[in-house]
Amino acid sequence: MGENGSGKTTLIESLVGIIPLTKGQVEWFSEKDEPLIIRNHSGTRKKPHPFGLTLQSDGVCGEEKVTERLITALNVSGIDCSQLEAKQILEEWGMSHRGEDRVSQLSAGLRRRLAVISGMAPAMMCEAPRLVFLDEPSEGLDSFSKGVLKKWIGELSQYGNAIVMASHDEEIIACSSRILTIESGEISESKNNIEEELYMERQFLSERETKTISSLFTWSYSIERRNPVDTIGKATPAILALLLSYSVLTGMDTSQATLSNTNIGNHLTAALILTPAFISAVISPAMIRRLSEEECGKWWSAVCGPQFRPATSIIASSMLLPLPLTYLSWFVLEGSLPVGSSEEILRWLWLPSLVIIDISCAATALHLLVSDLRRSGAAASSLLLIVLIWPFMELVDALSVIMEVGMSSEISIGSPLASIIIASIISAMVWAVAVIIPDA
Amino acid sequence: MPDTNPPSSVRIGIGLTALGISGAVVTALMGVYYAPVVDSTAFNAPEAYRILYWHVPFAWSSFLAFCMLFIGAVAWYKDRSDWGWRWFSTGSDLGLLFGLGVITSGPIWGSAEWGVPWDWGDLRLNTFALLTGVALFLVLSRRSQPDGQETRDTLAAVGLFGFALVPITALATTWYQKRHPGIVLVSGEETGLDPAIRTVLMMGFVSFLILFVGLAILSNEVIRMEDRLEQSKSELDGGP
Amino acid sequence: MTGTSEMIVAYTILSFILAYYVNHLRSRIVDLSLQLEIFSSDSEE
Repeated sequence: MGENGSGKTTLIESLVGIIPLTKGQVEWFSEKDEPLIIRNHSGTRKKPHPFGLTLQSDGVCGEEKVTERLITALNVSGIDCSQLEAKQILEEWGMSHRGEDRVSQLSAGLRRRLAVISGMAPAMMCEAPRLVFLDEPSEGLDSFSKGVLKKWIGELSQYGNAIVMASHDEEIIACSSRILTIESGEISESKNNIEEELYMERQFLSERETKTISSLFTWSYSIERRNPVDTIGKATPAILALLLSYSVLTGMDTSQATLSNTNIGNHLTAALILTPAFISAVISPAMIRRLSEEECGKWWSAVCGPQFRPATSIIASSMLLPLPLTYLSWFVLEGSLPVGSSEEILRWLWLPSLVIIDISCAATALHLLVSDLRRSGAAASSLLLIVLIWPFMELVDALSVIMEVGMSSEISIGSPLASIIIASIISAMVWAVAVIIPDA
Repeated sequence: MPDTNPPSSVRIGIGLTALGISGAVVTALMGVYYAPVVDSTAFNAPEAYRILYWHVPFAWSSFLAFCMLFIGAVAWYKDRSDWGWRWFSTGSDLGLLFGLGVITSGPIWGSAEWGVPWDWGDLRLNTFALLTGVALFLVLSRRSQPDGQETRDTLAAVGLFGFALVPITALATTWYQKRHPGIVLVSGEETGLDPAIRTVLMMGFVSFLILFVGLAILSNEVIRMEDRLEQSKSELDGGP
Repeated sequence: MTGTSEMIVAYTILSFILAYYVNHLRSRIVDLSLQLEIFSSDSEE
């Protein structure tokens, strides 16, 4: 406990590995007493054992459904939970009727209730003792929910789980056996005698290995399916660029006499074909905005550990659009441009568009880097994307050579394969730097 | 200026800045009126070459600024030291200032001399452009974001990212240049310089170095004053 | 084409960039000094 601004939230976020440390380290101990350094001041960060977490800002995305949120929290910590079992848990908290509602439809109090359930369930439904971190769990809860909260705290304690809570609420503080008070940067400890209550035996759920990254993928895929903002947001400017190119070209003299068999002609063609896919690759993904909602990204970062950033930069990138957009550009623009053998081009067009996926991963890593800023909407992230022009131009070169002389399997300076490999390497290097440095 | 005497560092900064600007103006005048005319058969735009006398010192100063940015970012990341953050902030401000000068004067000269304002295969031009872009991002972000350890950590990471881009850009432009031979920005810069040209260039180097130090001191002092002001305001936040 | 106009444009732009920044620093120092005076006298009170 402590005053506003004393550092309670900072302490909890440091303990779960969200905040980098300037001194010391955070060590967790498994039930076999084996230490695991979660984070230290020299940049080490390890994935923690499965645990439960409720952040002060809920940590949930508005697109998630209530049951989906609970099941995700349990899956991430290695607990299999069916829809029916999730409903039963929600029933205890008086929320089962809201199971199929989106989080955005809930009131602030219900959202808070869901965040608390999702934070405590990974320990509540598991036989093995676990750590639970709760930041202001009773904030925004009504008296009924607070009663269930206190009951769950007691039950978790009875089954040997450890709960770390930050709170102002005297009733919740009274549930604690050890009270740490933070004042002027100093921590003092006091003990508290709690009356042990007997609780009914609980039916635990089956445990398996944790699947944090696959849960993140499943979560992002199901949210995107529900509200395809990312796909629309990327495809629309790409298609607009394509239509613009088409309308400009149909008004131009692009006959053999002016453009054919020249480096400029093939370069222009290649650039126009690849531009829509490139645009879709560099636009900021919707997943990053979703992760920014209510500090949802912080929750995922805590449970995924150091794998969060590299995994998110790949999951959130434009995987499905570059290929169809490139072929669409070709079919739309083909008639307006003088090009070489269209069969050869069609056969190899997939290769540069695959590398555009690499560019997309690099762009997503950069957007993710900028999203760490508290007011990321006020940051000009596009300035950092300029470096991706080089891999794009290498791809344009590759495609223009394919148009002129066809594809070859040799890897030498100027060959299409070499240009494509170079583009891929540059994108990979930018991705690696943007992913490694922030967590170093 | 306020009634009270400015601190000594501000006075030194002002003095060096004034001296540097004077030297820079003299350099420009010498470059226009004293420096020799170049062979008009060797140059497409023989008078445009005189941009050199500010373009090169601007480039050198921006290089110093980016070094300062990098050292500051490493110092902040390592120890979260205040001087590291001040160097980082000053480096980004001056990197933007001098970098903008390089990437505006360079293309103007390039258009006149080679008819091409930009060359994606030229390492120096593109490295400066990238680092200037990163510096612009950092300057804008420092103004728009709430100051705090997390913000500083992220911006320092972006600063380090900018530096990791330098070798990546070197590779990228080298690979690209294999098919698109780069335009040499300054032919004969390293060897065989006319003594008069060398004199004016040296004058430019020295003037801009003095100017750089003066501006760095003043910028550093502004950051210190902002910190002191923020501290004073925080003390008053607690209430009467 | 001798490039004289390009030279003039380049020097003008570079001078403007320098002058703008020097003026910015000057006005920041003046403004901050004034504010520091005000806040230090407030805290003394």
